[in-house]
Amino acid sequence: MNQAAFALGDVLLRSEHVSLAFGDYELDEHGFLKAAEKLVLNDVNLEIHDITRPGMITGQVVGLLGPSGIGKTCFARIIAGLDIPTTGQVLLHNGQPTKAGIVGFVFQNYPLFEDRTVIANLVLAGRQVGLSRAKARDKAMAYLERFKIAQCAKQWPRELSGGQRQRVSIIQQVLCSEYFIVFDEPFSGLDPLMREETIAVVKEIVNEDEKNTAIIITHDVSAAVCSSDRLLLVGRDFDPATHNPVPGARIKYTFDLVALGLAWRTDLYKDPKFLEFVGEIESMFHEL
Amino acid sequence: MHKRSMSREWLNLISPLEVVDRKVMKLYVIGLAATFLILWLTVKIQFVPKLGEVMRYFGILWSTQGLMYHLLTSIKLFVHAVFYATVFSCVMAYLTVIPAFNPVTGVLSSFRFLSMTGLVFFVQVKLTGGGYDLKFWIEWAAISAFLLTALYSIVQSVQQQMYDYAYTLRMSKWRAVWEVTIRGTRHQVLDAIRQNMAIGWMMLPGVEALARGEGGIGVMLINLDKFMVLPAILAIQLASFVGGIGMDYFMGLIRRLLCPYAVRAGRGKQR
Repeated sequence: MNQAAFALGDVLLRSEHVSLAFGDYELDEHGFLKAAEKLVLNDVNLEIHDITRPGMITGQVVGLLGPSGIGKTCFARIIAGLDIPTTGQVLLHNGQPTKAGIVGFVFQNYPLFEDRTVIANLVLAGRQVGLSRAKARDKAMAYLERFKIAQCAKQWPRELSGGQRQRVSIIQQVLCSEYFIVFDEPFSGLDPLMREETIAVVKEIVNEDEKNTAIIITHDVSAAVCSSDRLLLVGRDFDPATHNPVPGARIKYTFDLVALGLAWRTDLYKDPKFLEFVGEIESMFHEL
Repeated sequence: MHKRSMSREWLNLISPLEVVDRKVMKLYVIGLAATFLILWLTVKIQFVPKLGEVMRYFGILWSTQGLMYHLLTSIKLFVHAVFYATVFSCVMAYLTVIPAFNPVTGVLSSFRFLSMTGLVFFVQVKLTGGGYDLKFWIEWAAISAFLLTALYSIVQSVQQQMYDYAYTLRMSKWRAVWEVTIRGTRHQVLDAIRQNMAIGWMMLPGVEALARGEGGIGVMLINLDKFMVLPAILAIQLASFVGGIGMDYFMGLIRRLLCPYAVRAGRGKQR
């Protein structure tokens, strides 16, 4: 695979000076956060570009890594339009601010409407974007067949296994969202085989359209490296005098996995460079 | 081998957290009922009339004292009160998704600590519709206070994540309320109505005693209590029991029909 043959296109998603504070806070004359009772995110800036490769459709996968409780999910919820930041904004490719529904969000425990069958859950998602019932059904069935769970169409959500439920949840968000999907801890509690399958599902979904973009929130370093083309490490700064963390997380490190030769590969697990890189990232968690 | 596993199945009956074979459970229940009936038929216990005597009085009350009429009178009053209590409680509980209604419903729910006698006085002063109205409003108030508490708790226990999930599917806040709060909790709501119906049915004879002109199971019981006709009292209790069980069964059918997704699987057999 020619890894060099790629180019960065338009900005698809941009986070501009996003901060999140709880409790009382104070802004300066430019609208930036000056002081806050509890600062969770501090001036998070991010740009996700369309990656193009000649002769193939390539979506974007961005892995957002960081220790538990650092604020990754808070940032993800802001990207998905579920929460409003205290300052700053997240803009989409058309310049519009992010909005719930336009950006999909696959929750960690894969909620579904328990009173609807699998196919009814998916048809509902299709109907929400204006598809006719028949078209929504056809599209849903096509996805179910593609992900080898067509036999579950008439089942109730409570009858599904964990893996089946995850796929239904992903398909539902794909049917409803517009190019962007945030995955909140998709690898949590999965065995290695299931983890590989989840990575494959994410990649398949993302590579359906050039603009498709997945943002994966995780603390599973190897799964993040395997699935992403870009890694972002979220962490806090440390006070040089006391060595205590300063409140407010931001993106501290960015890794371009394409440039490192670690993206879009199927044989990554066998590459010693991969193991070395995973170890390096894991050791960096102490600094986050 | 088979014998051993069967004996283990029977042992499971008295072991905690065990799943018991359906056939064994069925046999056990039949055995219990048969033992109870045999004891009732054969052993003489003070104050407990024999089954034959109870059934004889049941026949007398049915054919000469209008037991069926009284039972239907009670059911009519009960269904009327339950219907309005359910509508009122559902509306007030669902409205708590709007913050302004939260304290209102909270206060109304705390009315379950009010005394029924005090309510009777209030209703008597305010109403002029006669005995039926008095009984209806008291029964309605009693059921509503408890049902509202249960439904309020169900609505409040819906997790924020479910609403967020609805937003990710481009739903408006009102649509999210419909899908998550109303549609999504209907199995719990029906369970709460079913449980509160049982409480209301148990309270009904007491309410019927407030105005006796129209009759009802409660009136019959009070009249017979005076003369201590124990077999007749038990016969009426039996009619009340069968009526209550019948309504409960009906509610179970409705739940199964409206909430096929929530049909309970046996413990240990869930995936």
